[in-house]
Amino acid sequence: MDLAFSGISGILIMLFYGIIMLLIGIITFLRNKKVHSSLDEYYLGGRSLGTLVLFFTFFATQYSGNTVIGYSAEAYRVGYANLVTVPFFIMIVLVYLLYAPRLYKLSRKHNIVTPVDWLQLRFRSKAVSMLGAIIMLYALGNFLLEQLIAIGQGVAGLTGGTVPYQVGVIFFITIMIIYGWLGGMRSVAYTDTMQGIALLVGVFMLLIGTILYFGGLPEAGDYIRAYSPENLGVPEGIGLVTWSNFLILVGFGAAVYPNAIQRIFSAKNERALKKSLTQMAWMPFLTAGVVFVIGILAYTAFPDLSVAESEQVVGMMASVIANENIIFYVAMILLFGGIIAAIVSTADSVLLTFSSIISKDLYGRYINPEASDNKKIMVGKVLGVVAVAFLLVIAWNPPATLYQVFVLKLEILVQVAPAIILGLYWKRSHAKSVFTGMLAGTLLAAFFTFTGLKPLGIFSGIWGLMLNLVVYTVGSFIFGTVSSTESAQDMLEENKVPSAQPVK
Amino acid sequence: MQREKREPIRNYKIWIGFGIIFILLNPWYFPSGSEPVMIYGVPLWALVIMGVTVLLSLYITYVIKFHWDVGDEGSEGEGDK
Repeated sequence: MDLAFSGISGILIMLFYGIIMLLIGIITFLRNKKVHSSLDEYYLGGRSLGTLVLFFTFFATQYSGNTVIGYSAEAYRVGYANLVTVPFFIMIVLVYLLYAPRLYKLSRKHNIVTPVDWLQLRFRSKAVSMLGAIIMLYALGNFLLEQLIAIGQGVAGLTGGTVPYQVGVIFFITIMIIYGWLGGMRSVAYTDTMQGIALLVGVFMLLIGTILYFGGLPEAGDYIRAYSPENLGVPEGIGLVTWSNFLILVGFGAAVYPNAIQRIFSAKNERALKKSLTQMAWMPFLTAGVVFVIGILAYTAFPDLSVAESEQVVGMMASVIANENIIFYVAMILLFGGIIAAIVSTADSVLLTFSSIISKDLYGRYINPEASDNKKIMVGKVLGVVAVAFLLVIAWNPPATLYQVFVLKLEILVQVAPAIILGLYWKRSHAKSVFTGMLAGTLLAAFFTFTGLKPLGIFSGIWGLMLNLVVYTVGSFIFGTVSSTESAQDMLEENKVPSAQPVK
Repeated sequence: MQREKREPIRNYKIWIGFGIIFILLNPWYFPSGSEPVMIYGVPLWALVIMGVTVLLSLYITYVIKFHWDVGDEGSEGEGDK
């Protein structure tokens, strides 16, 4: 991305944001010396996050820098059909309502640290827990890879090639790992707050600049009518199917992101969780909504871009606006610094959750259950860094074939949703059927993604989810017995279940 | 102190509401093919969808406020730090 304002000021803002993140990590560490004493402390911030920090960490985890650059470009290309991005972010909160109230309570009672802990507590099946852990690690790994590539592109744009972008990426990754290691979830959540604010301010300045120097929605409407009238039309046929698929896949897929679930566990109390989720239900208007409008307004500035050019549309607009005056010059530098910070803030929470699953669910449960929490944390940290190093190699040497292996994320992650959500409420849930459904759904989703098949216009992840649900429910009806498993309801009730103790 | 615990999932009426909103959130009920009606440069259908989206957020806010109360008061707040 070519930015008119790239170069030395870009490097300065990167250093500035990097140093702030590092300071937050150090201060967090100094104020919470016992952060490495237990998995709870390190991975969930001692289950003590209040409304504001919890809200920002939900926000920064969900909205990456990609949201700004990619979604604006998409809105420019497809027009008003991309408006779906606003409700799909709200759908995520709706799906939280399906499971968060009960799962939060259970996490408190049984010391649940990772989503896999919940699967283990509920189904007591090594197969279900292992498959769940593998799917989550795989999806998180690819999600992390996407963020690393995005940091690379952001740094390259912002420094205008003055610094090799690999150096910029290593700089941010190193800082991210240092503050993550120092303070765990607390550092991640506090830096998320700073990163979230930086992104919000930048995006609003871009919106104001666009309206001031290019024009508002009426002008944009005229341009679209002249250049791409189809972008004003209502989605029909396949477009309509795609629209509802997005609502379902993103709603369920993003709501069961393990890093999102861990934020539920980190809440100080139910009130803080309720308040921050309420705020999250309104955020899409200020974020996805504003980003969408920016993409639409881009027509007034550049009405006739090719597909390739449209990818750069945010950078092109920011470059023009930055040249207008010093205030917008600074604002646009802040915006791009904020975009990189937002990518880092998504990457850090993905990495922390990745490490937690290794610490608690693989190493702690199967390899060395006797290890101290401190040792489990160390193993998670080290393997997290190994994973980042591996992903960086892939990011810089993208494989020519099997590219799709690294694209699968939501499609397979959504396959753990039935076990997590239905498992909370349905007593008959039968572990072997849950496992078979999850596996079949994952394989089908992967197969459709690899082959590019999209029967009836329905997404691969949704096909997998349908198969998964059929196997889960039919199998549980036939083989499941109510008495053999304890339901989440039983687990919540005091003294009823002998196993009301921390999940091992 | 014994209070009634409220969980959104246990109240089916809530989900009828969400179902209706979800159906309206998909733009299937607009006339197809014709020139879209524009209001201040924005297609009317997009404004209607935005209206339904606001309704969804309002409804979520209402459900969280009045239909989610699983916690035991007293033990909340201190937590098991």
